Amino acid sequence: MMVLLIVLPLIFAFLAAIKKSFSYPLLVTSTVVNVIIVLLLKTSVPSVHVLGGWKPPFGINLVLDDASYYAVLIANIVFFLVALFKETVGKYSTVLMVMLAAVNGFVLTGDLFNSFVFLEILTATGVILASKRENYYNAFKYLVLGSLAGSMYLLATIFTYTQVGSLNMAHASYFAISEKAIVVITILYLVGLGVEAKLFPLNGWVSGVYGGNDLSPLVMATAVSFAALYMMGRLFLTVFGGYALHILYVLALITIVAGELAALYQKNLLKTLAYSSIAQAGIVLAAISKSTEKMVSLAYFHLTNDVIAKFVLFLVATFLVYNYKNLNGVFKKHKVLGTAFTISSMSLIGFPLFAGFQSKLRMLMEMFKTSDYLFPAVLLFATVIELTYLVRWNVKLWFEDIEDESEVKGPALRATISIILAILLVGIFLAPNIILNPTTKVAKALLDSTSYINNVIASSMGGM
Amino acid sequence: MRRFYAILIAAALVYMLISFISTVPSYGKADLKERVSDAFLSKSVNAQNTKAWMEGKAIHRQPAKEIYGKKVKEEGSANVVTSIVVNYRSFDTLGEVTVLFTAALGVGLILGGSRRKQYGREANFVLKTSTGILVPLIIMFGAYIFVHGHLTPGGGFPGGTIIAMASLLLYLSDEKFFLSKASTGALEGSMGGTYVIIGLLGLAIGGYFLYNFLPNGVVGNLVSAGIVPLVYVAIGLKVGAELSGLVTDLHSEKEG
Repeated sequence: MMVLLIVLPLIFAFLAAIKKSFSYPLLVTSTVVNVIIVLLLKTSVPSVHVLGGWKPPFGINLVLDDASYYAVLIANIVFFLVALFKETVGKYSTVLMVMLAAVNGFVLTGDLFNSFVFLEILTATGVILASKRENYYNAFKYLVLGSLAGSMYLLATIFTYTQVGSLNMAHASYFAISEKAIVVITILYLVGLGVEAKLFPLNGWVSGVYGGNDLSPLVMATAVSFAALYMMGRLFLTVFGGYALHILYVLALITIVAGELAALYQKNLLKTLAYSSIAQAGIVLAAISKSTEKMVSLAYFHLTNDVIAKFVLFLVATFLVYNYKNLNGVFKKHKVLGTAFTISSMSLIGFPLFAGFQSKLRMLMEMFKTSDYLFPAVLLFATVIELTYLVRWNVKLWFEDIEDESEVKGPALRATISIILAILLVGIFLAPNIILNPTTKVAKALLDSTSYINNVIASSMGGM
Repeated sequence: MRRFYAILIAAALVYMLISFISTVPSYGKADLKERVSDAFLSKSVNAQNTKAWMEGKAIHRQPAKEIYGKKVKEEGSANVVTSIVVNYRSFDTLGEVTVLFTAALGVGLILGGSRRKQYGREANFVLKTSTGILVPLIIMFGAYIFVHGHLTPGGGFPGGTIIAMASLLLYLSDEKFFLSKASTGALEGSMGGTYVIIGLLGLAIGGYFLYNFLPNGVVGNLVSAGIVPLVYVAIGLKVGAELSGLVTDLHSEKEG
């Protein structure tokens, strides 16, 4: 059943190649069908699908456990929401379908080489999306970094095979890899995944790609980013439990500071949000690298809040940037969009009453309990800078005198979706457990490699 | 400064590679029993017990030299690479097919021409005449490569590439030759769809996606190895159409 999540968008994409004019309806159909399948799959967690009937570790298998279920749920909902915007999607429907298949495959797969293949498709589709609105220079930059990451990921996979003797994640997790080899393998995986996960110093592509057009930030800052950060957890916690986490921690802290400072000095709205997205990814990675159940759970809680807030922010910002020459006081004309934007930016900063407060405060308390003061210090510093630039942008967009007199008709769909998601952010503040319960399960599933291995072995002994 | 960083990073990478090489067993000393490929070579995946295999108790069989002309229950390709690529790890191949599909899609979206580009030079008569003779032969050779993918070296990707070379030759020899995007797109899409549908049939019949639901037959016969030849024919035609479309994109320009 779970294989349909990957295969149906793919077959729809192939059908769209036959008749170009059907591609948009096919995109909407495939995203709707996928969301329905994900909701139906809830009953079959955890389960393993053995492709071709070749049992692991010989063949390829897909693993649906609490962690991967949560990731595909978020990714498919994001794609469904993006697919609603016909003008934004434009002629990129087929690309989005392939990307949806790749995100699902990347999250679900239990095989290292298979995940490399899906990473390759993710990068290729990402580059195509980035090239929208003739943003070729930045797309090319992403292509160069993405292929570098791909080759490092492949090299790491080959190295794992020479040590373990199979490409299966469960087997790699079970196998005791020698100390000398695992250092090299994990560092290569860190470089390979670091590009997609926006880890310093591999995140030079982010501002250009997110800031270059109206489609790529909507997908890349949310669904793809979530998939990459999920994979970080899967590889570094489940498969290679415990190695290279110190390097990840240090790099993540640098990522936070560098991202926030770059956002502070940035004059372009989309690029500001892009740098802020880098910093948020840094916070999530730093929390993951602590590898305790509480912190990993909070990492994915924070990531969920960030994904929702960033989706709203980019939804509003791309509309403004591509419709008005001058953004001063533009929210006086679009009050609903403005409200949604403000709520989401408050959540990003971590004001009380909004979701970001819950995740940031809990992280701080948890870190103080374990008497680690470096991460809280960086987190508080980041919050202050975030406060500065987001409030500055809000003031500019709400209160400055209008310079661009033209008025674009308010987009009803965009306003509805952004305000609903913004209200959801307030809802998460009031009842954080609706997100915290699933993310606690995510953390348990990521940290418990024994039951991951046992699930996969059980699937090959006949029990599906 | 940039060069300094580049040298630093390259040095770190080289150090890592060298330090890793010391952990790799020297040539010919690797214990194949610990690798999954051993089971692929002797076609004994079904005989293995996963738990025992992971603990190092693999059932080791000599890769049989007399497999040819026999009925093998598990897997029926004579070409061992094909047996891995299109049967044991067929899902990866579906992914690679998608990578190529995406690349062609990207070229189409970025170049997006609708009219044949005119270079204003006439091909000489040697090229023109020999094209007429060579094109059918090239297409036949390409088709031979992918039809026999489960028996001899080759398969869908090289076969399709050879077919696309025929259309490249036509483009080079004739200024007016133009393949419509609709026709290559239709072939590409329907063949990609065929691959997925074969997989879905496996899911419906055997319960696993890409399950081999056809009899394996006698190793070495043209009609053998279950779904493998079908998949390779679909890949061959798809890659051929895709790369022909790519050549078309490179030889076209936008209106006006």
